[in-house]
Amino acid sequence: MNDEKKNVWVYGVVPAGAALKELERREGLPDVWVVEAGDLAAIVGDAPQDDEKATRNQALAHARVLEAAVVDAPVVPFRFGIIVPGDQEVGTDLLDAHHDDLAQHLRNVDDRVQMTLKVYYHEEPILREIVENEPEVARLREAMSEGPEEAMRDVRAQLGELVSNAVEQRRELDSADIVERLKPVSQAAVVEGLEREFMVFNMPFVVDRDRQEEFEDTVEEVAQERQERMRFRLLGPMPVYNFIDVEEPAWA
Amino acid sequence: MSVQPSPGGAVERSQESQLTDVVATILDKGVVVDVFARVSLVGIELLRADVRVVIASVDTYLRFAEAVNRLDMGKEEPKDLTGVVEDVTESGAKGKSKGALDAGAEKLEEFLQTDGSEDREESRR
Repeated sequence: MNDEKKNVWVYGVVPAGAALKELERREGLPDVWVVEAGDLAAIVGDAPQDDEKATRNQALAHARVLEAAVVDAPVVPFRFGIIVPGDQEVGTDLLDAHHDDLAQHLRNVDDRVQMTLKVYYHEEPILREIVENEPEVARLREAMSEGPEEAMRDVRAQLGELVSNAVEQRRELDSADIVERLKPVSQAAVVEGLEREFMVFNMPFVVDRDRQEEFEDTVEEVAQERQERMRFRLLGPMPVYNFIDVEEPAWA
Repeated sequence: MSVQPSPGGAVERSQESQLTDVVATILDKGVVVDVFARVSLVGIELLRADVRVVIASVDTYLRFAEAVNRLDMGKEEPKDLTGVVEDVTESGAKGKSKGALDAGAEKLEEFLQTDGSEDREESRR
């Protein structure tokens, strides 16, 4: 498999000698191998063909290989799209030439995993809550059902803006509330962009590897308390993509 | 697809990442070693299709208005939520301008549809 003159795709860097059992065990992953140099090792594989489908498959592969690796070892994730001319160059031009930087990154990610929490409102209960609690929304809603559709355009925009503001208010309160609960079981978090209108938040948390279960249990508890209004999705563990440059992630 | 709520759990867990969940992360985060240029693969721009919603656009307002307007507040025939959501999406399309979210989600769906085996339920509700 180690064809010297074939482009290789770099997934990430782990400590040399790491026993990546999950990476070997998990099904549906592309063939990958490890190139070691000194105390560092790179997880590499064949570079994909240059077509749309291959690119998409490689995006999934990239994430999934790293997720499997992080189960057993600290992983410095590489950005999507790094290709090196061959195994030899992975050792010399990548691992050796950038040893100190990579070793520092590896120390930064040691003992930490990322868990990304995505929370969404259930649309109907939240809209109902808004109509019930915002008299102006209720009033405009009534008004809309009475007039002819064409004449109601302004009213509709006005109503929508009020609803949008009301969702935003709730989003702020609920986010703060949930984050407060998760602070004690996490080291830090960042806010990522919302993916859709009824999303409450999208936050990667960095969690002490030894406290992953505690974090998961807390998320479960928080989700149960809120399941009438919200839906929770938890992704990970994955490498700490959002924190590779941070030596000691900490809540402000 | 491997989204399973843990037994009796309120939290959905995916055992493995889905495309919609990883794109922003793997394209924009992670180590870049500058001696090696990042390759630009075909389709990478499509991967980048921004599914993030532009909140507070006029279009969003209209969709919200439509949604509350159709809400059954106990006076009319009950209507299930799925119906409401679909109606909203459809009436949005009728009004020519589509939400940024919709457009993004659709691009991504088209992309995903190139291979029928791919999991798609994460891209939209």
